[in-house]
Amino acid sequence: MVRTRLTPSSSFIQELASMPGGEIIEKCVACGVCTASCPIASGSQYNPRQIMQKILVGARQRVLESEQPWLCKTCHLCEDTCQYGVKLSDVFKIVRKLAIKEGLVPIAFQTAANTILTDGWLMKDAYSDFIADERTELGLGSRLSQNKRYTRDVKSKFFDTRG
Amino acid sequence: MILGDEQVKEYVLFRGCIAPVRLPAYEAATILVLEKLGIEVTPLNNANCCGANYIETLNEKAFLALGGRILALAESEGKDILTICGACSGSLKHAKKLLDRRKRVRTEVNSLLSKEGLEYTKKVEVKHLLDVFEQDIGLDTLRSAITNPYAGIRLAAHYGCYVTRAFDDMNNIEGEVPTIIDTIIRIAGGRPVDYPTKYRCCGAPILAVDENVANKVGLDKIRSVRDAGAAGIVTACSYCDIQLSQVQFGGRLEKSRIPVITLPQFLGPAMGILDDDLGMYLNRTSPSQILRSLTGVRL
Repeated sequence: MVRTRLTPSSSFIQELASMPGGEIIEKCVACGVCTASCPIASGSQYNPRQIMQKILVGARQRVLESEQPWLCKTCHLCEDTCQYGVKLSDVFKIVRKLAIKEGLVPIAFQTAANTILTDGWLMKDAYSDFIADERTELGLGSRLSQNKRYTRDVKSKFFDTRG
Repeated sequence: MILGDEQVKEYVLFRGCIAPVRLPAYEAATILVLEKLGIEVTPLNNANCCGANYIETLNEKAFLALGGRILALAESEGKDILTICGACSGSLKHAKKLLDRRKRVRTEVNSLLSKEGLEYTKKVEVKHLLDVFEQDIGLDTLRSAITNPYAGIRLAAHYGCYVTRAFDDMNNIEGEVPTIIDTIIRIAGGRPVDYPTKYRCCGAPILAVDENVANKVGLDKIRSVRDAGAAGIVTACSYCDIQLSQVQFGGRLEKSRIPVITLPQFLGPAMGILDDDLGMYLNRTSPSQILRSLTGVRL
């Protein structure tokens, strides 16, 4: 049976729907239960329904240039409440993928990713002799250095070639 | 890896980035409490970051390469992985799921790993601390290990999103509400309380992108816990724990901070483990109000 289409259609929806996992976006009726349940949305600019609406009406550039899809922390609370089974975190993941392709990545993500791949972990700069002493006092090993040779290999294989 | 009944279950602890630097007491308390419950934990050395949300978002193959190495390291030691951070736990479970399904990317990752003589062959399992309590230890064993129970102190459980939310990776049932921390609080003699924002995020993952929003989300949670009349918050994730502590140091709430304590630090004293061994003195929000509720002889 062919399902009656409840949502608008746009070339942006078609583009997203053609990407793996993207077909679910067509189920959204923009009811807003996602925003109502979202811990990030309460009291901030972040509004998952609004992003979905912009996607549905095909405002491609505005969605890709927005920081909003990057504010979704994939906590999945909205997916537990969505009556139409829309996996919003997957939709935003696909939107971010497109944004990455077009070079639109927030600085915070670039910085964190670079630290992880260069140092092997996130906290090298935060680790001090003082904390090492605390660890020793607790009977824990104080040598925390993590393997950066491998993460640098990963960096050059998957990132550096594409800038 | 399946072991006979007589054998001690062994894990390698993947410490992650945050716990070893910001919460060494959580790491120490985990090892001590699990040891008392018959589980041997050794640290996984020479590991690397799991990549978390950052690498996963930017490049999935790179994310699988990072997770794949951690899985392969544990395999080389013949032990399953224990995680104490929600983000690490979610990442590694997700990486394992994808690597197990996709042969081509697994082969690609293994060719990177072969330089170090490592290989991932799908054998290793990833468990968060809460999984270990639920699946390996069992509530009866835990009950019999409680020697100094708390005297009914009201406590709020905080469930990390990446620990318990219904992803299929987590083997959780869609829409199911987690109860394990509440159950453990009750077993140790505390009284778990409900509060409106119980299953909400702590705000930590958003810190790097928007600190103001992150703090607001965290403080919403703190207010909700206070309104419910809880004397403390029990956590099972490094990132959640430091976030729920640090949001209380913004100025306005200074006079009435709610103690935030990790699950093994909460359990330890009720099992007769010394406060100092559990690193209680390192907690940013003093747990003394919680500890005063303990019954029995305290050393």
